[in-house]
Amino acid sequence: MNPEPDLNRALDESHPDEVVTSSLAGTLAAVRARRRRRQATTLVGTVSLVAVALWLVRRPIEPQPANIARVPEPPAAVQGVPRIVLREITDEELLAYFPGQPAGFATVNGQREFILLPTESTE
Amino acid sequence: MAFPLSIALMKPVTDAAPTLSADPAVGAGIAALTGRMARGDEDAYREFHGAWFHRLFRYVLVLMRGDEHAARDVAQEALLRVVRRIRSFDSEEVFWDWLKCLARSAAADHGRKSTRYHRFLDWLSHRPEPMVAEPGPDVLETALTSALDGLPESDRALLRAKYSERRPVREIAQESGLTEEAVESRLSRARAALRRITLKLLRDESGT
Repeated sequence: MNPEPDLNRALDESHPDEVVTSSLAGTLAAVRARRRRRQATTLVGTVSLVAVALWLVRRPIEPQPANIARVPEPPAAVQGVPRIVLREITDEELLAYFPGQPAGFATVNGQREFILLPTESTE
Repeated sequence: MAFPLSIALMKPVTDAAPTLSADPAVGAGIAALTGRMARGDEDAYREFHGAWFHRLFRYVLVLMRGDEHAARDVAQEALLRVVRRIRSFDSEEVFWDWLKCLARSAAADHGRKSTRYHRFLDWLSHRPEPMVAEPGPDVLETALTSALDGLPESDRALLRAKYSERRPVREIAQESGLTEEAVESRLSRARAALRRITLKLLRDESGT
């Protein structure tokens, strides 16, 4: 198939040395350039990650806009007026507000109502 | 001079078995070598270049039809592509096939008269990289053998003694009654003549 296989070596050795030398130099330069690019990419990536991490850690925590929307706005007419806190009380607590007075509960037309009768002092 | 290159070019592509390199280190440690290259080891690239450059160059020389200057450019471009795309290979045959593929791709790019605009269009349309057809397996060997036949008998005998019979220069010098320097000088001239004729044969073949 190939009667003179070693003639390849004769051809190889016929090339000027500078061809091989310059080819090797060019290849190694490409290797170094690629290594520098990789290092630069790694550095940029690391710095970016650290910057993002720092920003996440140090950013001010603010309430979410969705939560703010759920808080009921006070009516416009009441703004500026001191806020009145209403509390639900029991029947006994209600009666306790009128000691010594004729007060009680009665069912009128199917509805339970609080009745306070006038006394002589109030008339 | 008989020159059966036309027959060689028409042979099927069967250059799978790498028979051109005699360096035992090439086959044994290809996985380790390519692994080190993939990690960017400069010494590994020196070893690779020492072991594979001539073989790659011979292949490119055939691709470029004996145009030595173009072959240098293409071989260098192929080496740059090796640096960019290197990965680990377990088999020397697969590695050599990969190198040939890079070389053909580099040869196609070198030969194309397209502009950056056309390359951009190629990229946009996801066209595969253009490739140069795989040459027949024995093109260079056939040309070399024919070139050897075209040399004077004294040069032919000298080259055969040195490269086919692998006799040392000192022995050839003693036998021929010349100094070693004279033998080296004659060998150098014979190699240059061999290369010149071989390249001419490759070029002439491309023109036919």
